[in-house]
Amino acid sequence: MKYIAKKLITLILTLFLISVLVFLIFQVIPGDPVLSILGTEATEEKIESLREELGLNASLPERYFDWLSGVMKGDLGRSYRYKENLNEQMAVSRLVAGKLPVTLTLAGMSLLFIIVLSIPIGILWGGTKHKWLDALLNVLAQFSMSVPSFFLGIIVIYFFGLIMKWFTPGGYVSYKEDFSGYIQYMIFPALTVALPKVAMTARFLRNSIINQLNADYVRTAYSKGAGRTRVLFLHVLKNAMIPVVTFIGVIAAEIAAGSIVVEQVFGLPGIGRLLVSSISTRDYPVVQALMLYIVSAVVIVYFLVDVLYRYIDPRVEE
Amino acid sequence: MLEIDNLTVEFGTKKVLDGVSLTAEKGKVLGIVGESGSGKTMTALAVMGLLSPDARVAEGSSIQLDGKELIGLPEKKLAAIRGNDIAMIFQEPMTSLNPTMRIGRQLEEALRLHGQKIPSKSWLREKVMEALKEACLPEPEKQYDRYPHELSGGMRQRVMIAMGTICRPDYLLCDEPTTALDVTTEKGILELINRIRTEHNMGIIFITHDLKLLRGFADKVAVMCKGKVVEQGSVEQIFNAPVEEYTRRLIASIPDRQHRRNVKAAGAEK
Repeated sequence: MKYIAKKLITLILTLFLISVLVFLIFQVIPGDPVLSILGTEATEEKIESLREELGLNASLPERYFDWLSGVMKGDLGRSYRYKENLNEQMAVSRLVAGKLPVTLTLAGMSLLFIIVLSIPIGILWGGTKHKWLDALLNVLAQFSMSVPSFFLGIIVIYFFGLIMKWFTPGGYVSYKEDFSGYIQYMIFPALTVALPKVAMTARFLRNSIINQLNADYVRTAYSKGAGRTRVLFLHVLKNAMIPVVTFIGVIAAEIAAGSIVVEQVFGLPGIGRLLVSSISTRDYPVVQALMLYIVSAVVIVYFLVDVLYRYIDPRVEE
Repeated sequence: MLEIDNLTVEFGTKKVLDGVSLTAEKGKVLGIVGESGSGKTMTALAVMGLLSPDARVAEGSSIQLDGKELIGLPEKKLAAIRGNDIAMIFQEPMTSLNPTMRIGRQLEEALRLHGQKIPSKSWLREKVMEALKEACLPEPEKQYDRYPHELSGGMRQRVMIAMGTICRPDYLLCDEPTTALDVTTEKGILELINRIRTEHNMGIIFITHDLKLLRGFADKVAVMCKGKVVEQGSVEQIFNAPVEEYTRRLIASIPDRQHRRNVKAAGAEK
């Protein structure tokens, strides 16, 4: 409990620090938000009144706490670019809330694929005595790691979409309209995101297992009379999984940030595409919100990895 | 009887064991002494059938347990012998136990593996506790639920001994079990091995690079050098009248003046 409390305090401190950084970065970036909303031909009074309205005349710490309390309440400011209606700019929170579920679904399903596929493959790979199987898996892994994700996406669309006809390419449906249709469509982009990571993770687990098989305690287990399968599953696997958990954590943090390329190829309205378009149009409130999400997601995933660690490695204590 | 006869092991073209012949008897201690790389550990691993896959046991080699040939036995049958008839404890108590498994479970496993009927969980726990007590592990109840890293080196070696002897094997191979420990702990571990030997009439093969450990402990000593047994005899013979130059040098390396004098005198008489 002490360990988790400690990590939790670190998490909160890190999140606080991140919020300061994310806030400051967008203060230093050149460009005046008022001008970018109103355009360069706005009148002096209009500029001044919007300045007051956006709270830009207050001091920096004041503005930070203003912004932070807004963030806490789910108010992330308003987009410069998207309009709610003629007179009102769209709230960033609404904009992001529309896209985030797609990215989170993609990330969650990819992670599920990664875990479900890479662990059995890694065990098979690390435990095998057959040289040909080792070589075959090596070739497959090399292939799926080296193919760029846009091309992998195209292969998936071509094979599963056009040949097998398991899904309609470009036929994305919102989860609000048809949830099962949405999940069915998401399987394939998730597979595309997952495939290279499955190869990496399986290979990592394989190396970890081979490493552990040379450990002294393995010899002890054999000398007690344990057979190979028992040694592999009962003794080696848990020890071999310790570094793999960190590895999967890094991958989870990476995919939580959204895969821009895969979203583009499959036409998914996720935050990856929103991020790219917001950067190119300098829609800073949106970029700021997405940055806050990405960095927080990474930190929270690492926190979860730390907590998980506590359960698989008894040596982790103070 | 555990009889090793003409045991030759090769890695590629390199002979790591060259015609080793040794005999261990129940209730007796056979000491194997030699420098590192002399093939002591390799001999023990060959007996356990735990040589690495790239090692090749040459034809004509034989290891017999009470007349039963072990070389060439299928893995399943070997596994049934390991821990049950012949057990082994290792040099590194720090790494020889599974770091992610509780002490109690590691001992239980040895019992589970050897087909004894296990009437209940409490019976299993009792058996383990008995073995831990016999190994003089302090506070066995507490250690049962602990992980290896929470124990000292000496305690871990006691756990290893408890685990090695829990199925009451006929032979216990001890590969430098005290090398990683300090002198006081070493003495305790030797006493423990000796006590278990006499209580259960167990045959001990005690491997060490430290000849003086075997005094007053081993019944027979074999001196190994470069994969061969160069000299064999009782402890007195080896200490007081070593035949081989190598043995004499081993004795001379003991930091004990009395002995060095004896050895010198023996050499001068020749």
